[in-house]
Amino acid sequence: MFKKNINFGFDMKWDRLPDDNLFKRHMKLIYNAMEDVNSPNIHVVNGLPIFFRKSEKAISLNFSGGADSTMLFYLLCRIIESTGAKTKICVSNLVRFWEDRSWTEDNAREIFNYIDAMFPSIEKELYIGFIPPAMEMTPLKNLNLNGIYFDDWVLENADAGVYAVRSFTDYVCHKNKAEIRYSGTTMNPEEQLDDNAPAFRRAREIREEELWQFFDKSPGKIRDPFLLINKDWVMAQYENFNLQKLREMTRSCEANKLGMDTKFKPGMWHPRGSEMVCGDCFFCKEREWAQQNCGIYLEEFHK
Amino acid sequence: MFNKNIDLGFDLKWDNIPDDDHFKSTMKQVYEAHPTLTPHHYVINGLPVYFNKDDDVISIDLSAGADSTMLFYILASIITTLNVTPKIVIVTMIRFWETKSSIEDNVGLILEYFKEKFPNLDIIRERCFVPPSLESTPMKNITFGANNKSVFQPHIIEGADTAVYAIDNFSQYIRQKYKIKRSYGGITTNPDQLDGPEFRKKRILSDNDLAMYSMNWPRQDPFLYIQKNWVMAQYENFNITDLRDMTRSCSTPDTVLDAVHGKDNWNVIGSAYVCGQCFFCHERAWAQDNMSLLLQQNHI
Repeated sequence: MFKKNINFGFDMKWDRLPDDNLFKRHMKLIYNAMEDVNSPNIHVVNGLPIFFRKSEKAISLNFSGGADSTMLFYLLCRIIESTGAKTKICVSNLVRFWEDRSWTEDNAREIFNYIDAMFPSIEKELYIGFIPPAMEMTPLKNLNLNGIYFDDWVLENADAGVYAVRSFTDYVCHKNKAEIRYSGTTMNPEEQLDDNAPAFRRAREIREEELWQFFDKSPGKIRDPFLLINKDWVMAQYENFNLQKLREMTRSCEANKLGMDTKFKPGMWHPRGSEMVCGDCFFCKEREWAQQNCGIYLEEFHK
Repeated sequence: MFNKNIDLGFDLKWDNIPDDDHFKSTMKQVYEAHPTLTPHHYVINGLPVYFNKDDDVISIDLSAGADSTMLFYILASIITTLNVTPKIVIVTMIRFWETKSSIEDNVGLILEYFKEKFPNLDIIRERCFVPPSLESTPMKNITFGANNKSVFQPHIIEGADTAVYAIDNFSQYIRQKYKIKRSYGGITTNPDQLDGPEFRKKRILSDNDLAMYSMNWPRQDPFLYIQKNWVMAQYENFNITDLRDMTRSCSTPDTVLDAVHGKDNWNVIGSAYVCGQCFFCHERAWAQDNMSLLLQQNHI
């Protein structure tokens, strides 16, 4: 199984994790399918293989200001620092649902600045994009896509916001000549936490092609290192790397303004960090679940 | 006719301009309709420009073209002369990125110029990214929901594309985010001799059009009824031809620039590499050729 091959983090003692643990199961799946496990471009961080090629001039990162993409941002900085790469990180954040949700871009900006201060020698740039809210309600197939390719399933089921996100990421990559794009999407917990869990992140039987993006030789440009793991691993890393302050700056809650007004009274709450959250949405429940279940990924568990 | 009322620019000698000149005839029409401007209109080289000292946040649409850059310069000069410190939100559109090189860097250089020239200005930059497919998707294909109801008239929904919605929605977002009191744009009227964008076509001005000079409208387009020759003249009058050359009017696709200058042999910074063929290039050349009447040397 995967062994630490970078100068930070710890070596996971795999036999301490139960065999039915999702992280262990999926890492085993990747490990067994991977021919290039010893590639210098595969960096094993606390059990998880993360692809990064030192020669990249620029990479892009989809960044929401949530716990997952923030952790990926941090880990990419650590890997860049550790490998001595000169890679620029082009961080793209999107303002979404501004009319009715409690998100703000200020939260993402604060986190970006915080990580920037931690790694001052790494070049980074924050790009803030914007999705007009009605795009998220419009079927993707209603757009005149002028030949832009989407998988049939996506075309049939996704909304136009998916195109808007992709177009903005494409633009950021094009502008910076970045080839590889990173994303910090995790998989929903196997136990049903809420009816509104995003379907595209559902716990599922892993298809072979889902493993390819972990391989060095993959021709794909998208790298989603958390795609096959749950948030519990991610939350554990905030403890492992002693980043509790950063963790508290991240925001998972996606409550709408009305819900927050009801819970805290109008004008009595702010949408920054994780201090004031609804506690009821899927993302709040998932985060709480992850905090409760992260113990087996903590370094002390593997000493 | 309008006389200079701020310590900026010069007093136009209206008699030195022929009556059939577009700028003079337009300003005459404005003057006859509203001989007394609002107390917030400042006459800059013959043109009334609105600025309210009480506006603590304003926004300016800046494309890095000659018109919006000149508007920014004039507003920055008024603000500096009046010694006030509003927050200025500069909004740039990023459109057609797949076929046209981004002017983002050009805007960045122009902003640096302003920061150096007007160090006391409080400038914030915002970018509105428009995904290219929205420009060709009819607005009627969009699903508006309970929390994002359409604000458009039925005929606009029927005839406009989705980019119109995207830009309008972004403007609303920015207005709310910064609590903007007044927003500015630098749109001009097409020259009579050239076929340009339909919405900028010269037309007979109505009382409602002219009301701009007597009302405190939240949207101000000071160049809306004048042509680009007045704008280009101001680069000479204010002695900022270096800034003029940083601006870019050409709006042609990259493939045309490849054909004109050779692939990888051009950039979109300033006006060094242009196509010389598009409407905006023709308009700029026309403006340069027709600005002399509006130069200060003709009004001494």
